[in-house]
Amino acid sequence: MQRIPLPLHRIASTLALLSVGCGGSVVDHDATDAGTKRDAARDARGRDSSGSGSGGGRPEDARADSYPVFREDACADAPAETPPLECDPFAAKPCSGNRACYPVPPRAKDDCHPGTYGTICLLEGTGSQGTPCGTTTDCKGGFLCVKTSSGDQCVRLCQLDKFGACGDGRICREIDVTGSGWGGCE
Amino acid sequence: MKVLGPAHVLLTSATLALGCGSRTTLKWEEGPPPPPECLLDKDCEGFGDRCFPVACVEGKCEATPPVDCNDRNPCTSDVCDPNTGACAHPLATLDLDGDEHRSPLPGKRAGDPDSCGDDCDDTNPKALPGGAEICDGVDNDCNGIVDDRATLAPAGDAIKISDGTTRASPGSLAYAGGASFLGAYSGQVAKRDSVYLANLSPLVGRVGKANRFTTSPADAYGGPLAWTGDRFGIAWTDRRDARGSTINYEVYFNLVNPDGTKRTADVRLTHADYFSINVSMAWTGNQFVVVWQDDGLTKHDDNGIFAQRVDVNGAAIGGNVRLHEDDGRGQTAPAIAAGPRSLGVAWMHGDSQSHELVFAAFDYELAPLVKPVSLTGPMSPGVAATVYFNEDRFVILWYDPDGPNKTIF
Repeated sequence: MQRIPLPLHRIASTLALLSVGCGGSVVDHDATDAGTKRDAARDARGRDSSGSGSGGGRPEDARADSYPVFREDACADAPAETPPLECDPFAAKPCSGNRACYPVPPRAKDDCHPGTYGTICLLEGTGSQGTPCGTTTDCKGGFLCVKTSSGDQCVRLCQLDKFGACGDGRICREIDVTGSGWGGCE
Repeated sequence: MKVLGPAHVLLTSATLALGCGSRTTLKWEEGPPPPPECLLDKDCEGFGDRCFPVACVEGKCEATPPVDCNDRNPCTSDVCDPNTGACAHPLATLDLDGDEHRSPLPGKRAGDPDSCGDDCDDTNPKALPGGAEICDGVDNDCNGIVDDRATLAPAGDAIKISDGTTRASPGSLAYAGGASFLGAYSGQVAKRDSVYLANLSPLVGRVGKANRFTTSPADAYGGPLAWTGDRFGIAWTDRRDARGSTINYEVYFNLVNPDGTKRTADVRLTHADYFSINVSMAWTGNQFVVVWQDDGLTKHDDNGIFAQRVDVNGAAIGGNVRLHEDDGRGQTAPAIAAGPRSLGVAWMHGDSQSHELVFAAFDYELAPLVKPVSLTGPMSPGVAATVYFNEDRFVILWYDPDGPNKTIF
């Protein structure tokens, strides 16, 4: 089974009023951008019969071996956003009262602006490593509710670039708080 | 047709002369003496076969002792020439591939003492006792092991395919015939995860640069690949459709040309908020079947296993189908494989503290063929089921770190 970053469970459903960034940034990169940087010098001769699709673009049929190639419209590059960090989830007492600091995954404004991660103080839960959960606030501070291939559970928040980040033999795996450098112990 | 001989005629005549219903005490010996069965040897049936000779002895045909050609050698065929009565003893086994080693007798194993042959494969001259074993898929030395000492280790160094990205994670690898493979992986650039494709060759490694396949700036992860013969199908999950306060991953599908280029517009397969993730896919020969776990399509927001059929041109066939309604304990991490007439799907059933691996078979229209069966007892950390179809059965593998020696089953 493919391994994808652990998706944070429904913390966002509890964060209706939270504002996490605006605008997005996609910059060019070393790997070839198949959709946006493709050679435009192709003959446009047709397309597949599939009509359903998503996203802008147009089909092109241009290869010498005559299979159709779809060319997508690119999003304009945008400056990187500054993550809205209300608290430090690794701090000893990041929030006041009986609240704890939880990461928030990015949420998009539109197709070209995917948003950025953030953090927020919320009422602290009680779940620890491996406890089944429904939302991140089911877990206590320093833990996250994530979806794993063996069910939704609280996992300890860790730092991906720190050696032995979990300290208990578990592996610090990337979670979908993309760009934060944080992971979950699994 | 058999012609009645003289003795039979006599008896019949006598019976007739006595009238209907009568019984006679006559015996044929008591009648006139029968003519001789034979006068000469040549009058006897089978005359001329020197292996089973017959002779006319006092008017009767009598078999004389046959020629004994048995040489008491099980490895020969004992043959008697009927024209001459001479024995021959050709070998009972053959050397059809011309490697000077003979195949065993039927039902015997090559090399066994009574097998009379030591060629383990008489259709292949590269297989013979004493041959030099090379890595060619043949038991060259007939020791019962194909490619001795071969391992599943790579023939060469590992090929890095994720240049230019960070935090890469494997998606899948698909064989495209000939010497061509396509690899899919998720990688991060500028703090965004995308799905990348890399053309691979066992001879030259990665062919060209990897292509960024998902061009939306939103994170995307995946994806399983399947080769149809002239194109790939690929599925993945991404959150381009998330808006406002709602977390939303949706499952997407597209077709990929042999060179890794996108063939048509991305096809969105799911339309429900929250998590449509953990995608697996199979090609049946005329359609793709994509499965995933979803908590936005279930009645109680629990994780369920869903499937979607997609035709060869990338058009969805019907709608999302929940494969199995359960008690709401949760279904996660589906894996699918296609057999000749059925689909095999394995998934985890339960929650993080107690779950079990479940398997069920479905027909190509996603109707269940059998009730789901549990393949394990309750596990706490066991994960990562994979399903393959092999010859005539589905093979399911999974990882249970609590099993003996951290077992892969």
